[in-house]
Amino acid sequence: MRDDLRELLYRSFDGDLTPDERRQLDDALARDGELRSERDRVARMRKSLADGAEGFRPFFAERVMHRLKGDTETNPGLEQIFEWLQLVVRRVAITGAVALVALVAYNLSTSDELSLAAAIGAPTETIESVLESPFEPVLEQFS
Amino acid sequence: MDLRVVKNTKTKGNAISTDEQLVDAARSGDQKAFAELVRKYEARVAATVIGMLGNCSEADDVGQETFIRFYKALDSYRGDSSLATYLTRIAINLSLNELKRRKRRFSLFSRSATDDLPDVPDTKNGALPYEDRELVRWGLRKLQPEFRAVLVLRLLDGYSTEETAQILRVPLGTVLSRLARAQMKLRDILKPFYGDESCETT
Repeated sequence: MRDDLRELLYRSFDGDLTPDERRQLDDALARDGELRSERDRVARMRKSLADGAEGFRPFFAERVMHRLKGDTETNPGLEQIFEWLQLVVRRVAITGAVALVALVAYNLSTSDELSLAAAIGAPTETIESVLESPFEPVLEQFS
Repeated sequence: MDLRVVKNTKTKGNAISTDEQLVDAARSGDQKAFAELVRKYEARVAATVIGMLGNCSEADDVGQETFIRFYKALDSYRGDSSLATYLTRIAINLSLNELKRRKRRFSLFSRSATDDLPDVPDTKNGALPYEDRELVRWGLRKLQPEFRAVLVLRLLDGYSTEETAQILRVPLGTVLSRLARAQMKLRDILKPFYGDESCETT
């Protein structure tokens, strides 16, 4: 694709072409499939940019007003509750993670083996072994 | 100016609807009127700021700062330009300042200001890895600030080229040439993701 035609094409989207340049571009578009393809891609790119602008987090206006008032002692509004919930959830998550690490560390330090079962503190006995050993002699007496 | 609730203002019952009336009410200290202005222009400021900085905590801060600057300048706002244009000008200037700050911060580590952006996932066959919109936004943030600004104002905010020039305080010719170059650069950034160049799309 010729650079001058490419430049004309890109300028054409914002209407920055003289009548002569417009004619030149239209002729080129009629002849050149690659240029047409480029035109479609740029149009798609522009549409993608224009579509669906993102917004701020919820309670933006409340945050602005809060900052303007400079008042941190106001009655808890929705935003404060939202922030308080975030804080509580974060603290619970951190405490849980720390407790889990401590538990795994304790289990591994008191265990002879290094395995997942030892890390989570799973008992080494199976149900069969628990049931068998203490009750077997008693059951034999009754049989 | 002290922000306080002014009782018995015309904001009750949505009687005030024009920007001029809301600005007048805000000037006289009506915080409800100012909050209404914030809600009214929040989306427009968000489009500008998030377009420039990405959806990050700094964008929220810059958005808030935009309205705080406007509030402080309420007395000097004469309404020569529309409120949307006025707010967008503040938002774009604050965003450009934030990008400069970022660049300084990252230059300490010899990295580009855009290197902190998430990498685009691998593409198996050169096709678009995820939604066009996400990809184009990613590409936009790889552009230099002056190119990014014209695309954000023209395409995201939908300003005309004349308005874009007015907001950026640059000649119209500069805006037009930046627009063309910005789109070429963006197109080059996105080229690997648009598949086979020889295939014509319809």
